[in-house]
Amino acid sequence: MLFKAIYLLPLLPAIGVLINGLLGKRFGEKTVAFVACTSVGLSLILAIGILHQMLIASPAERVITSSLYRWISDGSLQINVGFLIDPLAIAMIMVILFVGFIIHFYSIGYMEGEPGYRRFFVHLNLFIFFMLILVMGDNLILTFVGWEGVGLCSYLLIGHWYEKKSASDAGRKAFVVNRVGDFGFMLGIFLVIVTFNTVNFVELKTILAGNHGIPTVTLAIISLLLFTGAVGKSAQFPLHVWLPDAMEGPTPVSALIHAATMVNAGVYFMCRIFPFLQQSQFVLPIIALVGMITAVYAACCAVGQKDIKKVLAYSTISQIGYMFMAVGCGIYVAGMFHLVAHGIFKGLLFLGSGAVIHAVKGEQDIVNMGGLIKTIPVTAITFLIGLLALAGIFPMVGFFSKDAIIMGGYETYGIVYWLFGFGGAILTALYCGKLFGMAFLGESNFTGHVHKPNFFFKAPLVILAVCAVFLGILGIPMFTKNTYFAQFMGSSFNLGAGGHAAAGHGIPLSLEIAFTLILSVFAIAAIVLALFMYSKHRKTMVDFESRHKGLMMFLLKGFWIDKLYDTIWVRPLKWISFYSDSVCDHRIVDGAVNGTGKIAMEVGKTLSRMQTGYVRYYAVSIVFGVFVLVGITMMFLF
Amino acid sequence: MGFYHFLSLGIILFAIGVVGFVIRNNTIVLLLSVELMLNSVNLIFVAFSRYLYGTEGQIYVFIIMTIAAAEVAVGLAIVVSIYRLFGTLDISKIKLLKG
Amino acid sequence: MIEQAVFWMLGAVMIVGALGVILLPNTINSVMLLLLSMLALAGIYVLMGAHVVALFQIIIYIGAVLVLFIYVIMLLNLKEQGLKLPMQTFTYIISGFSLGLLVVVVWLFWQSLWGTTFTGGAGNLKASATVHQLAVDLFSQHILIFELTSVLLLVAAIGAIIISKK
Repeated sequence: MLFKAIYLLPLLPAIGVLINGLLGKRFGEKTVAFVACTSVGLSLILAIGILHQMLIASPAERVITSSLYRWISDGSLQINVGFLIDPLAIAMIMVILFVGFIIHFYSIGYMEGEPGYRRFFVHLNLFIFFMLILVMGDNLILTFVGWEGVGLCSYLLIGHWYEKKSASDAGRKAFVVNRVGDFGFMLGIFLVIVTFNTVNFVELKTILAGNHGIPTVTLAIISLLLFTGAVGKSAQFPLHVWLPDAMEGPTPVSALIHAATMVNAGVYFMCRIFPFLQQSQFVLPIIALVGMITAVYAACCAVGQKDIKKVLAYSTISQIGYMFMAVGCGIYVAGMFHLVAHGIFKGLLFLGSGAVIHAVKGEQDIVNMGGLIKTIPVTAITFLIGLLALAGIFPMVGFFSKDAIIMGGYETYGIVYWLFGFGGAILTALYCGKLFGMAFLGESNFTGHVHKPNFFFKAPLVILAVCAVFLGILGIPMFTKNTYFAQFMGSSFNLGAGGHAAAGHGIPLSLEIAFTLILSVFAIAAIVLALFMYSKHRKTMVDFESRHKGLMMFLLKGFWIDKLYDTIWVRPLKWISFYSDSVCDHRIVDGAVNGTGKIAMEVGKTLSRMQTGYVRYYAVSIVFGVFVLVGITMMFLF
Repeated sequence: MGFYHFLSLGIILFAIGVVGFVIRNNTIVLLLSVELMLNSVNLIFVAFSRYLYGTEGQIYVFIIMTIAAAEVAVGLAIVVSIYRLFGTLDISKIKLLKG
Repeated sequence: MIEQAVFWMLGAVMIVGALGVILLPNTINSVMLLLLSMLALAGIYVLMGAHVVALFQIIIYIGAVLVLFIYVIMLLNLKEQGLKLPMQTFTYIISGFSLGLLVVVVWLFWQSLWGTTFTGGAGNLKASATVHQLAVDLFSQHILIFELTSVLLLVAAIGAIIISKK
């Protein structure tokens, strides 16, 4: 039975880390790549096996728990290292391992000849390991271990080219910003421990399902604290600032960590703790609000970006915003569907952008590209498929997943949410068109020889593109709550009543179809318009942009939010640190420390004169001490 | 002849040991003085054991004897190496510990 | 009566022997007098009915420890060094203190314990102090301390070898 072997899933990448990390010093590039890819590949095969078993099992048997050993034992609080796999987790695991394997494969070609080749693969494997721990952990603490582990790997991989100052700075920024979220996450865990005296998801769900008598306010605070962690990890407004900078890392890293898996961990986690979120009335609206703001804001920023990877980074933020919106609307099955879809097509887009950057020798500014469709057609076509999926054009997978979210927003919160979701989708279509038009169509602005991508580049792109086209099958039958994906997810252990059925009033099918048609028509119009304008009339558009320099800068810099944080956080902190260093540390602390040393030295010098070196004196002092002791004893005796 | 006599005997022996340890220069004699002191303690232990009709005192004496044997073994080894190092056993000439 | 006579004789021999240990100039004589003193002590143990202790006193101290001393003295081939007593102030002070302590403690014993006799002699032993009882206690209640001592002995033996090695 494969269910018994689920601990092998994270173990295999860990073995890969150990082999490459400890023994790999003498390995050639091929051996390192082989070990890394094999470990992830075996894990993927196992995961497919488990998925298969799960599909043929009855819905009641689809929740697998396995406890390895007791980890922390403190009175009544028992924490095990245990794994929990249900359809929710296996969906995430499939994304991680499938996209992860493809990106491992892609990296063989992409990182060829780079210094730090082995380090890269070790970190990549380590990331897969921690990500699986995060997803599979059956309690908050173990999940937190994975959570921090992927944060570490993200830091290491963003700063892979650490000789470049901007790369190491970006890594540090990601780390620090994540700390803000993780602080909330940790407080949330502490509050859960204090309130429930357990951290196991299954036990928590049982408690919450019963008549628990815990104040709603406490549950709301727990939810919001844990949500803070998710906001940090998933780069949601206002903690999104690290993700655009994280594009300093190698492109496979951006594809794997900062698009397909790690940044989605927040969404996954929200689904996992959904029983908490349901408990109070105002938590879900807050999540939906944050998701909506992020979705629209990041889409605006993406329009103004010039760097091909930053467009995709902001688009990632925006799409994750949509996922949070889905969670906030209570239809997190739709959110998970979008997560899977996004993992596929955004992985495809990043890998495509990597191929483009590789082809044009490190040029990342789309203004300096153009006409690339003639020289690298495979990359261009697959990239277009990814962009269409991102823009939500029928019949790509993005169409099904995004539509469900936007409709869910309408059902739960009314027309305003629909309008914002609609606006975000139109903006998405716009920057998709702009990106493709600038980079691949029109006149070539790139001077120099264009590298043709080799097999290692093409194969992953084609596979992912095929998936992006056909994964939409999971989203039918449309307009119902019973899509194939939802049927499978319905047996997740914490779905219960809510989950895929929106709490709202239900809207007529005709209205739903009408809204979908409107959305599709406008999106297609937007993408075609952008494609046309930026390919045929690029000069006009460039002129237009240069005339509105202020606005473009505003969008390019992400509404100046970085600058705002710099003013209100970074500079005061710097000033305090400087003050602490020059005054507190140098004068007060150093003075105290040195003073202590000086006093000890003086005392020692004085006392050392008593050390004559004659054994007799020491004996005498011992005898004298005995006399004193005996004298004191006698005083007490009589 | 009572308990008192034995205790007093032990104390006298101990005092002789202390004085010997302080006034002599020869390292071997110092060790002998230590033996004297240990023996006086043994004597007192046995006297108490007798006084209280218990076995503990005598058991402690066994332990102390063992420790004394160990101490002598190590002590004499040190004496031998001191003699090799300094060519003398006069402790008033050995003062490497001077601060 | 005989016991008392034996006690006083043995005590006198012991004290004189001990004084000889610390006052004789030649080391070998000191060792020999310590031997005498310890033999007398063994006799006193017998007086108190502690036969096993007396036996061990003779076997361990005289049979092993003092032989070791003599062996070392022969090994180092010590010449007669003469009795060079350090006539310094603190030796007087310490000796005075020791004697003072002696007097005080003896006086205290006199005050508190005079008349608390215990009937000496092997005939008056109670069961709790017999060899049998001693062995049972040593190997049941005090087995840990006993084993630890054996470890200590081993360590000391190794230590002695290492220290005296060139």
